[in-house]
Amino acid sequence: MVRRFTAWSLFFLLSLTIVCSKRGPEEDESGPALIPVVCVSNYPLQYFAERLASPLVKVEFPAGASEDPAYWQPGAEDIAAMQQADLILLNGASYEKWLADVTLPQAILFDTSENFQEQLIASEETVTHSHGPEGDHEHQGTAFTTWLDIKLAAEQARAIQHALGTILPEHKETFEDRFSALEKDLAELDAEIERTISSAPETTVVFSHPVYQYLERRYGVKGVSVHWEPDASPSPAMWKEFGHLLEHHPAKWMIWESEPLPEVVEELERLGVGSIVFDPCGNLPDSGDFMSVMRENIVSLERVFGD
Amino acid sequence: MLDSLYLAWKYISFNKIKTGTLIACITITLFLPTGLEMLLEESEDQLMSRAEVTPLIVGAKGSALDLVMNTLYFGDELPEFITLEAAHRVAKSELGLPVPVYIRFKMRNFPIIGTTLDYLNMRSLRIAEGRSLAVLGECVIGAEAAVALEVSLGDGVISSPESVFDIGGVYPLKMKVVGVLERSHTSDDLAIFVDLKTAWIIEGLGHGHQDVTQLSDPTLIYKRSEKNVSATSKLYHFNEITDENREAFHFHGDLNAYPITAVIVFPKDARSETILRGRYLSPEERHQIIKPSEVIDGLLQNIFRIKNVLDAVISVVALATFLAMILVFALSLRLRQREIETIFKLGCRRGTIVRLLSAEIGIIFLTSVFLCSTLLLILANVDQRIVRVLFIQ
Repeated sequence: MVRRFTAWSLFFLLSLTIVCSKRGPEEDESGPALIPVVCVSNYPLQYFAERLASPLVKVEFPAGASEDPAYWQPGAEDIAAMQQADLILLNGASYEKWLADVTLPQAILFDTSENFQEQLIASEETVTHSHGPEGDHEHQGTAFTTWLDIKLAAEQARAIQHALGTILPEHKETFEDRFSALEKDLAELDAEIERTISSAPETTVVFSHPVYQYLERRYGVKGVSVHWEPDASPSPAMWKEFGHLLEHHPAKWMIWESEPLPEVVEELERLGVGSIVFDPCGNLPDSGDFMSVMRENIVSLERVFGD
Repeated sequence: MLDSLYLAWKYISFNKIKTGTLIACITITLFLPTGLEMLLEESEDQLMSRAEVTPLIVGAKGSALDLVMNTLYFGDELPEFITLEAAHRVAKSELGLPVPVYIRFKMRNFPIIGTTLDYLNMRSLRIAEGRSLAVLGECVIGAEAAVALEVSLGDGVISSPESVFDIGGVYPLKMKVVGVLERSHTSDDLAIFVDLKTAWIIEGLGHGHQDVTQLSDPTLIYKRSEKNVSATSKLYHFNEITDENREAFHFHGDLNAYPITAVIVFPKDARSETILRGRYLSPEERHQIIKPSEVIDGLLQNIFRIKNVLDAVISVVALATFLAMILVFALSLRLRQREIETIFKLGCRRGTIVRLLSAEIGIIFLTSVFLCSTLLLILANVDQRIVRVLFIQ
């Protein structure tokens, strides 16, 4: 009788131990801690946010699946997800054209270029129109690839560090330390681009798209922009216009956003114009990260300015 | 006792006019002070509860009361407009959360509140049906407004012109109802909420029209050059924002210069509130920052001063009614002298007469109390609405 009682008691204690041990060690009384969600509008912001705060925050890039985040239009699900985020990092400089059409809590919106508004470059793509008695209207924006001026990119990273500090004040020091490392990397990148371009400052180039304004200004690149798509052949009128352009702007290189069509490259070479790719890196790169893409860009620039 | 009540009832039923007059006098005398007290308590509750959960308001210098009544209770008196820059100024200070509001337009008699999503969050307004605002041209409607306007999810509501004579002015905008709010028992129940940008579209500051660079109809083009297209007034403007034309809607110039009526500020803490208030004290300052609870407190002080005067008037009226009742009963006794003598002759005691008269007074008084209670019950059901009409709108 006593032995049976002892056996049952041991069995009960063993069962209790197994049940209790099934609770995870990280789960406390209040349940698992929620990780703040940070939404970003382009890849450079994602890279900076992740370098500064991963894994303390979850960085989401809803426009990442689109071809070009600058012309992305959020769907109902994207808007709902952004409304639930803890922070939305915007590039500013009229990058987020979708922002005018959507309703988001202002409290979580953070414009990373807010602190250098006076340094933004007015867009040349200005269309004016008038209708009725209201007089002329001007649809003017600003050039938006601010991060191509690496000093401005560092300012944006600093703004992100500040914004992250507002949602996770207990980790401010971590963000500061990580920002110091990121700032150092960006400063090296900036110096490298500057050194490359300044080796042949008189070199003239043609940009396939008007997205390099900040690169031009920061590093003194003498360039003119056309509106050519890398995945499309220019029309005869465009070639003709390009010929006229070369007459007063004798460029030897064309800088593309992505790899152009081989026949276009050939035709350009026939005109004495070489082609290189300088990826603005607005969207997720196929491989590597922001830093590695920029280093590849520097290698491409060396071909142009190292001649 | 029952026989006394029976006789009293018969007497009262026979003298309908006298009894009716007495009951009316007593009912009114009882109802007036109690009803007034009830209305004042309700108004105090409504005004103070909303004012207390709204820490600060930034608006144009001018009547603080108009600013508070428009911002908190959507009153008809419009304060002078300020610009969205005022909200950015608060945001830049990082001392609190600014919530801009533009309370100017209406849909019939229901105010359209142009604001940001933060308004719904800070006021803890929850969606009962549907979802929150997501894109331009959508609205979320208060529970009472939805019932009164008989609208539900997916229906359209059209903004009303500001004036019937404003033929060339603001175009009505059709907005889609995407959510109905849970009842909050505040002014928000009677409001229609839209994004600030949608409110600016109602005003005509933002608009959507055909792409002027793609126009082929020569009657729509006034002048065309390489960098500029001037369209004629014939250019068609959209009066509804749909998925198809949403991208055609645009705003001109700096949105920070666009009008709003006020900025509700939720400071981080008491220290931030004090610092923020201090920043609007300069004589050159074009804006004022006010604490709604202080303004409402001042308003309530005035209301209570008026209430004291009313109380005094009601006390005099009550005294006059009481004296009139004594007179009526004294005269009634004299008129009923023969009737009382007959009762004596029938063998009844003096106490029976007292019981008879007490029963009559009791019935009259109880009927008055019953009527007064009924009126108070009715008032209790409509006092929120009455307070809104009397004190708020």
